[in-house]
Amino acid sequence: MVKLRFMLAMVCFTWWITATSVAIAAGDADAHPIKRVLVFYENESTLPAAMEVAQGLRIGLDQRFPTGIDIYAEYLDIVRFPAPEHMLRLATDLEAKYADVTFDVVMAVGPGALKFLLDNRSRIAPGVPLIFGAINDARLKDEQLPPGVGGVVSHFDVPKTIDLARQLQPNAKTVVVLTGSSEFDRGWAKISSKLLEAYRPKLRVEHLTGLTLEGFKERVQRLPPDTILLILSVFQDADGRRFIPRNAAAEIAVASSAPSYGVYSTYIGIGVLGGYVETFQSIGEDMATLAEQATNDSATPQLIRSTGQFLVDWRQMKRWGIDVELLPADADLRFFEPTVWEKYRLQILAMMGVIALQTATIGALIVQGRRRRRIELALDQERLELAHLSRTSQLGELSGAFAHELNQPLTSILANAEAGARLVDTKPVDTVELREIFSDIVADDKRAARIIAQLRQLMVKGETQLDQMDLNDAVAATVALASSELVARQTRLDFHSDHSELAVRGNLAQLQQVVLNLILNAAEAMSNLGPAERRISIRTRKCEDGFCELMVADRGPGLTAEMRENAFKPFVSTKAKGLGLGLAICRSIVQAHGGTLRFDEHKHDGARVILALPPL
Amino acid sequence: MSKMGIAPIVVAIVDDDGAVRRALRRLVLSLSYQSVGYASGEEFLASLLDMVPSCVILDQHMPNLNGLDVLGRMRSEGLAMPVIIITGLDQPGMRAKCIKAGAAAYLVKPLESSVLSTVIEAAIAG
Repeated sequence: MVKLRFMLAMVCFTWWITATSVAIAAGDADAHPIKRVLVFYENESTLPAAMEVAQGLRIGLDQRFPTGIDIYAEYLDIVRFPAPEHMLRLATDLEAKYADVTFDVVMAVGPGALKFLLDNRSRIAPGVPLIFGAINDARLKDEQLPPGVGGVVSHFDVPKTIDLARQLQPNAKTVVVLTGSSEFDRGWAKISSKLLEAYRPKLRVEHLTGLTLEGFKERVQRLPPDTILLILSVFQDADGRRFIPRNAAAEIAVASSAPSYGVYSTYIGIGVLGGYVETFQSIGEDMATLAEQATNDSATPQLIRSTGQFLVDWRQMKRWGIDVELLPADADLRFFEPTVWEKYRLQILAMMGVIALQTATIGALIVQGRRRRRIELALDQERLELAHLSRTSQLGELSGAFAHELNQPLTSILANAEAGARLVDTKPVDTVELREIFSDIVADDKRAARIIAQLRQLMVKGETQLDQMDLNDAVAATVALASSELVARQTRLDFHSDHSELAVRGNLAQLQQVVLNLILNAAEAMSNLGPAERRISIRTRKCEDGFCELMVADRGPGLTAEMRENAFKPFVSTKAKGLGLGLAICRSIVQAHGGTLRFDEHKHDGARVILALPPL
Repeated sequence: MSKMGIAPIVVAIVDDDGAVRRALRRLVLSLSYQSVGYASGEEFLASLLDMVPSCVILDQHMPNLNGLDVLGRMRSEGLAMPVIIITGLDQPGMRAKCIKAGAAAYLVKPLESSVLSTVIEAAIAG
């Protein structure tokens, strides 16, 4: 019994839960149903205006019905199928098609679509609110709208478009209004004729209609440039050819010899200069707003006016040479192609700033470089002067040795000459000996000349030229110059080279000055030694890195690390006499040759100075 | 003045410069003396074991042993033959130094034959 009661209780509880869930679900569905909208377009689906309205509708309906919207669309294509009997057949078909579908809102895009729905709404969507759009107020003027019908009334404002044209073409005296041959087109011709009455007699109004597209193009090609061409619509031409008005307008506008205007936003960007237009997308969005209101309350849908604006194609302004200053302040200028300056003004300014800075920097660097070069030149000149002075001074100190060197051949010449003079007085004359004497005189003369040439070479001033030379030759020539002095100092010099030729680029006088300085320093360092110990060793070699090395070693007391460090500083000397400029000048000469001059820190029994010059 | 008929007068010329040595030998020969040349002081000193010349012309400016050194060695060995020191580098005080060391004369190059002849004659005449 207890078990039976429990089972009954469970069944009741399950029923209650199920019933409650169903009720909640039903309540939710009523609160947020998916709305259904049926849209009738007057034209076919690829008409740009229809596409823009459809896009606006989609955006607007999605925003206003976040729980879901189901859009149905019918394209009536009335321009191509205008017959009333076709409309009747279509209505019958659509009645059957949508018999089982309940719509929340039905919409009409274009006057033809509105007429169709006003005639057939009771069959296709009885009692459903009707929202229309893309219909000129002029076309609605004589229409009696039944209850439950509202919509977005467009202006497709001809007068404001003409006002814009007159503002941009102040000298225009004629307006040519171009319309096609379809019923819609003819409707436009009639409406515009009335609207433009107000502009007479200031403007002469001509209507251009009843022509083929070629006829239209041929006529507009001959328009005076100060004409205002207003292209309204060409759904169909005189030959019955049908067009998308936007495409026809494009061909006509391009052919025209005068600026053209339109009242549809879709015309802007294809060759038409501008107009006072409403965008079809905004019409679609406004229709979506009205649809939401119609589904929320049962009141009659409102009639609202769509908002227009001046829309102008900047490229056409350029084409016709019209100053943008003439545009109304609130005009929307489309397709504006800014100049490079307008587009990249900040970047260009920044770039110009950078360029200016760079130019200034480069200028400063050039000035600085020139100044530095001038200073370097002056320093070079001073270095040369100093080197020359030092060399001259050195040669002055060695003048006695050079005099001896020159006296040797002079002694030979004089002795030979006097001996020869005596010889010619003897009988018989020893001609063989006489020839030898003459030969020796010539050789000694050449020897003297060579010594003088070498001295002159060392005395050259301001030398800067670097020539290819053999370091060994430079050393040998210097050793020859120094030999007399070394003999006087009872100092022996040995010169040894590992290579027969050590090609370097240098200035002979300067390098000889360096070598002479090193030789005399070495001799000086050994002045306190006995003559037998006074030995200078000169060695040249080619290093692995290609540098050519000259080493001058002596057997003197050597140099401490501090002395080695200071030896190349100016005015540092270990000699009682001397300014201490010799090695400083030597180093500056070697550095000017791209080489180095240093003391060998590993040499302890005496000093060894190493000169290294870069290879050719 | 002829020196023939008596022992020939030999003048030794010591100079490391071959060209000078050869030229001086020719000059001395032209002055009718016998002449023998030596390229260094050491070579000359060694030759004294074989032959002692009548007079020596010594170049002061030679490597290792200079003229003054050779003169010093000669005098220390008791060799008193006349020595004429010649030099291409007339250093201050050198003349007095040489004379004091026992040189018969001190001549600066280049040498004129008349001067050299006179000096040799005077040196030999002693």
